[in-house]
Amino acid sequence: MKRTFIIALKIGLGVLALFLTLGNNCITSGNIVVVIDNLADVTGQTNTTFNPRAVDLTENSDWKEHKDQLNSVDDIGFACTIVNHESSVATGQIWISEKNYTTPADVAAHAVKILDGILVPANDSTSIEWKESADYLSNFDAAKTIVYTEKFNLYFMVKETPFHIDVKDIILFLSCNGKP
Amino acid sequence: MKFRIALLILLLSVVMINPGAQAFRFSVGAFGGLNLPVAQEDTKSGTVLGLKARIPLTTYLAVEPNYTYLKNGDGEVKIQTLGDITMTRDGGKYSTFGVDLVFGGVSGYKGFNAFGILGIASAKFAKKGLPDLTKGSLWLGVGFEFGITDYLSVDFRGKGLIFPYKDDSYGKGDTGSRKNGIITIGLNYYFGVSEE
Repeated sequence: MKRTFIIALKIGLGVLALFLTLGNNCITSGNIVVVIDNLADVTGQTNTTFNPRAVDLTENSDWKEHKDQLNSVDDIGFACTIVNHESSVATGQIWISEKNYTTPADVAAHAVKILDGILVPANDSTSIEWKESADYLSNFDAAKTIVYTEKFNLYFMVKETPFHIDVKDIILFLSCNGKP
Repeated sequence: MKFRIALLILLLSVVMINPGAQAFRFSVGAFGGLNLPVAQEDTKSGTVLGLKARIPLTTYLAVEPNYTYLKNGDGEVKIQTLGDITMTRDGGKYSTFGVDLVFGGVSGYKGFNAFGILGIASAKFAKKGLPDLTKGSLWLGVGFEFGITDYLSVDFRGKGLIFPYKDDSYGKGDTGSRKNGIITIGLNYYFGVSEE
């Protein structure tokens, strides 16, 4: 009995000392998923119609609830359906910037490309889900610094020109570390 | 932080070391079981596999170099605006190399032993599409070992992994962490002689 008590005491002291080496926030943090699913469909057409979709995280209830205890954005994902109206294959891309650009050339010159390589057959459509978007994800570190600004634009483009696409059912997923 | 880590090592050294060291024995073993992410909406439960060796230092203290692989299950989110369809995301995986300090019944002889576990590890977290994260991590837990013979044992362990990290690109952020609990069953074989 005495031996068991001594062992238990030793374990307790060890665990206590271990927790002293960590900050409170480190112990209590977890991961939440913020889903932005209120983005309207968008049409992108070279030199005629080109508009971004504005994201304002301060209007998202989950983000607002956790933003004061947020430690990091750990993952960015998308889901959407891209309809290609051209008679050639389109390579879909998603770009992100905190600034507002009005031409594809400006976006390509100044924004951060976050998704690339979504192949859409001619006069057809392709849908990607959250999991698949990881296959196309790039420039994560640069993109998340833009997400931290809370207000930014998403641009939906095609690598080839000219292009004419509709993008539907757009959803942005952010995995965030903070107090759950 | 360095002071507190030094304090931890000193404290453990003072309370654990027993001058009555036993004959040198060591063991090798493998384990597997359930991996349970704690408070992580972007993952689900998964599996864990690993290898370890045990090198006793005293009657009640041993070190265990180990390799542990944890696979998280895919995270799931239900999308209401698309008719409640469920979308998933790769939950990621950890590879950890580390050393556990094991204290309590560590002899591995025939019979029942209980022990506590405190460990440090270099852990790499990999998730599809994202840059790998490699961080110093902590393990803590408890275990129970049943010696079938003086050389063969089965153990059951409950351990927690704390994987701390800080995003330096987010000025407002503090150090956060991912935490996983694991429940494992393992098989161990002891080498060396007994003085009992």
